[in-house]
Amino acid sequence: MNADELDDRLRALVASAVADAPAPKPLPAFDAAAVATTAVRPMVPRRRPGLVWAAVGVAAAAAVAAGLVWANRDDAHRIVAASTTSGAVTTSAAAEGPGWPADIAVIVASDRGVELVTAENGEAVVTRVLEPNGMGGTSSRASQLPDGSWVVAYCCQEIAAPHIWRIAPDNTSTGIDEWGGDLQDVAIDGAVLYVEGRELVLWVDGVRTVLSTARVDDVVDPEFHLQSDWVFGTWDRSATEPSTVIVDRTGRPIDTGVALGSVATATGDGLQEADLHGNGELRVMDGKGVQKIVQVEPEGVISLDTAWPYALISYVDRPALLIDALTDTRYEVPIVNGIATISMRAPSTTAEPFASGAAAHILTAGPDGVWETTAAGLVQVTAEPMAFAVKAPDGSVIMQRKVGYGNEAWTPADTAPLIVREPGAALEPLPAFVFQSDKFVRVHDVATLNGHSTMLYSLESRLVTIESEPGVLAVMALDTGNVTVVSDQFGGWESGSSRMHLAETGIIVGEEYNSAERALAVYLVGGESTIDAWSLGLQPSYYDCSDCPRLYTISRDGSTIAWLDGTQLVQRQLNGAGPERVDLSELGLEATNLELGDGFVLIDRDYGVSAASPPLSIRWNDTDVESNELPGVAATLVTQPAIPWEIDVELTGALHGQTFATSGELVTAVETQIRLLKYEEPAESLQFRVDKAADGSVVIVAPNFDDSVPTTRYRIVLTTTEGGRSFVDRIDSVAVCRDDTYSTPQHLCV
Amino acid sequence: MMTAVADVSEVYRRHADELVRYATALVGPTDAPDVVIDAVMGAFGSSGWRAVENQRAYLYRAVLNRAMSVRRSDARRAVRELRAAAGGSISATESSVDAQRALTGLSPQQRSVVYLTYWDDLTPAQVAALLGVSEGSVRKQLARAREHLRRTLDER
Repeated sequence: MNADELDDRLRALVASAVADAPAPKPLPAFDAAAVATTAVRPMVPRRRPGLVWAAVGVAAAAAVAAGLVWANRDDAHRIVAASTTSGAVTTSAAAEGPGWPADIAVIVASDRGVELVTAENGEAVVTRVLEPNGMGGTSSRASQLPDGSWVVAYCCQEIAAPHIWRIAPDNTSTGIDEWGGDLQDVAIDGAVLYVEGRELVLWVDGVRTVLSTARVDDVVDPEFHLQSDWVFGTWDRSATEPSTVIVDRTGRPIDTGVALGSVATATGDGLQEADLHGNGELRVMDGKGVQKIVQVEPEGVISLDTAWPYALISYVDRPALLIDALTDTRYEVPIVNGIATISMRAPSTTAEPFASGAAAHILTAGPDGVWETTAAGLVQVTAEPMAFAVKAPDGSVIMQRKVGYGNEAWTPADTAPLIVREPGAALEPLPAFVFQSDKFVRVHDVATLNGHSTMLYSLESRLVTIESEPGVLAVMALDTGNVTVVSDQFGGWESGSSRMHLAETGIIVGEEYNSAERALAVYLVGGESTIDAWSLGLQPSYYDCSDCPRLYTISRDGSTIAWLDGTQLVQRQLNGAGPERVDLSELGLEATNLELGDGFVLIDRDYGVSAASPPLSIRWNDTDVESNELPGVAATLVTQPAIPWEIDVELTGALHGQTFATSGELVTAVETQIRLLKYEEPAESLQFRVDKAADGSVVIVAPNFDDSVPTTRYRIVLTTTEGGRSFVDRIDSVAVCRDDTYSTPQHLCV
Repeated sequence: MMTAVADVSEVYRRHADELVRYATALVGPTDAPDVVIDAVMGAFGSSGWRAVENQRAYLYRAVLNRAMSVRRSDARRAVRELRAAAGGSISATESSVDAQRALTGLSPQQRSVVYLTYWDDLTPAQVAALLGVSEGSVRKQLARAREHLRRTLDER
């Protein structure tokens, strides 16, 4: 058959194939309103319990830059992306069970794009990192590399973009397969394995190598995995006895006859492996001789991934399941379906495409009361209208109905500091605070100072003439009532200050003004500060300008002083580093107060009870600045109290000085001692959970069978010798209350 | 100015027949209408739809993507069953079923190229422009498809 004859035959063949093409179905009802044409408005979360943030992208054109989303805790689980113009999308129900481990991040690829699951305060938080583009392709798989790059298939591309592509952290993309490649695996070094037609292709830095060719014409169900130097898998996983293909990275066969589970996988370095057999037996191996076998539901499994001690199973018709094989703890991925993979990036840096601050712990005050916003949701502290609130390190909240001198608008009594000891409790006058009926009070800040929760405040007299008495800036220890006057010449006629900020080092930073002159103000509790304007590269004062350096603040730990300069946020480390500048655009010009978080700032815009200009949380990365409206009129950052770890004498005595070959052995040994020493009747069925402390130490979470103190956390503190050997230094413990506070002599669980 | 609903209804009315015919070549007549509906609803509902300049090309690519997704999941069993049943010969005047069976041996990309080449009489450059891929890729897929179909037809 020559070419022309073949063309004629094929023309007839195609005509015949489509001769019976059916009629189109009618277009279903289409909700045009669901497709917004403008950017998503910031959603003030106060009426949406469980919706922590609804982000709006100020410059969120970057596809990878998405807002923090939330799908947990309440009954209306919603997911809201920052960079999309679509509305909120209902997702899965919250995962029941043990929350989410802190040391692992999971990626789910589906027709909703690519979503990332990480832990915030022990609960799963879902971030949509790539939006689907509506081109109908289901994102078959996505991987995240250690440097934060993404490799994705069938998702989110523009029409001329490739089907498999890599997106670098700076959002530049590289095409890997133009058309129809079936992404199989991504190695830790960025090598990409995919099937195109009958060919198994390895892509490494732009070079494509065909490793194997299928013998059948129509490859339906291939499964291949990529390790550091070899590839294994099968062309037809659904076959009763799939034949295995094992080749090196050049395609040279290196082995045959290796039995695969019905699904198998290995980490990119090839050291850790997992396989799942048809009887539901899941084997997870740490690569050093330790293996754990757990039983799982084998029906409907479509993918398996591992990172010791975890195995991640994707099912065709239900949420993926993350299993800690060490403890057999199971975490349901809170996304309805899709193919899940384990991120190769450290979880601490995967949760937020932007710098930190997405899950900041913030207190807001306004006409609707005082609200505390955490990753776990919103808590109303009080429904009483307030102008200002700040949380003390002991968990109580100090607040004011009015702030400072109010001329004739309010009286000193309106400014009396109030306290709510826990959410929903009654408002009380602040104990130990001596209220003076002729003094307006302004609470500026609360921080831990010399071990005491300490309130920074100022007192102002009614200002009648230039002779009126100036104000006082002072700190008061909340537990003892001891007062230290910082300045007795604070404010006065035609003078005033911004909100002053107290660091745990005793340094107080803010801005003072006199008529049209504005200046940096720095004080030191109990001493004299050596920090001055010159040392920060500032003029001693600025006269009659609205965009000069202003609104000075200091980080809680006292390491960084920040201020606004025009539209820019300036941060300067007190150790001399910096300054670092971030352009906040016009947002910086609106601020009336600035508070510095870790990678983000809070600004107030109207220092009064007005809903017109709510406070903002502003965060940034290398390319974008993103702001989120907060409820109320004034926002303050909540400093998390340190976990009150105490040395556990029993466990430390049993384990001090011991060394272990693997982390698995270490955990097993500690769990054994906990069973022996902490329970009257040691039971093998006790379920422990392995977690990580903020300092990276391994933590074992053990049940207490006590409703008010449901768990105790045991932290394993290791010491490494000069020779590189690690041994157990001590075991710390802390009892955790039902409300996630810690049980201490000062704070007993209710 | 048309409303959004009228807009998408008009787009669908204009392209539905050709898209279903295209989908028939990709997945067969049974699944074709559903593939098209799924594809266009996904496209119309996407945030980027309003910015699409070549809506027809976008929808062709969406239908192809959807066809490939379907093939990856639900259609696996059906494809295998169809493959098993496709033991017979293909005559010079193929029936619709026989023609479908012949196309079953092609990947969705190859079917797409074959359809656009032999039904719509598009050149490789035009196919590439419609699907948003390179002309080289189209020529490669077309060559592979022709070789496969030549063998299939020669074996009859």
